[in-house]
Amino acid sequence: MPSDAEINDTISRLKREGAKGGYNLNPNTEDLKIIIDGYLVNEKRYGYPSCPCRVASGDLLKDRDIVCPCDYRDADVSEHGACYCSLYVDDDIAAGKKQPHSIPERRGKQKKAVASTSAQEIGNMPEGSITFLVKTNIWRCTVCGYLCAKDEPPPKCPICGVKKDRFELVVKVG
Amino acid sequence: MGQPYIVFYGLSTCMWCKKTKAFLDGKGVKYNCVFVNELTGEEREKVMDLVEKLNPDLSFPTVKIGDKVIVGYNVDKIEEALKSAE
Repeated sequence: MPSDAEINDTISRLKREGAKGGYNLNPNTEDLKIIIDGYLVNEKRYGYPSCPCRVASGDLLKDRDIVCPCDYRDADVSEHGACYCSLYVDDDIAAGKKQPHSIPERRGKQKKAVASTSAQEIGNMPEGSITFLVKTNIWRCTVCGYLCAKDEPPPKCPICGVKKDRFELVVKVG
Repeated sequence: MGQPYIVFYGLSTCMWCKKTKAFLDGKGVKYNCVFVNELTGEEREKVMDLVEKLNPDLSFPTVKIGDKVIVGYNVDKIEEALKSAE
């Protein structure tokens, strides 16, 4: 069982790290402690903090997408206001204007971001050509030029800190 | 008619599972509780197959109440399933 001190230290660290990228933690302290307790139990058990609300296999290669922060966080925060385990929430939930709720599982439904291209295929690509291996949209921060290959831009630019609405779509896929 | 057969499949590390379990406890119904992440080996495989048949997303909590399956912490749906099974 993780100790109170471990839980509080982890919360402080995640709060600090999240703030840099514009991510808020769940404002309900009691819920947040329960989430972090599960996070730490998984970290001790598997050696990495896999999502407390998902089944980990114990094999990092299979679990990589659900290691917190998971691959699905941004899309879930955008669509539902909170990530799957509700550790990360949007501004409305952080301000107490809305409550997080149990959301549907996105894992397995989101397309893989990068095509599995073999080294040989990459070697066969003609020199000087531009080949997009990502299968997601690419967004550009109009303020600092930061590029982000995701279906949706992040809530806040991790480089210069401006909000999501300052991003423009530069490559659209599909 | 008696209480329907209820099985709760959850993860011991998950907050939504804890809330769902607390809700069932508050209702005073009897149920079987399975923490899938605490199982190992063959037993785990079997239970995972079972849950996947009930809920193809293989997400938790998954609660089976009689012939109804409720995915996620959804108090209204659990309430409804308990009532319709009465």
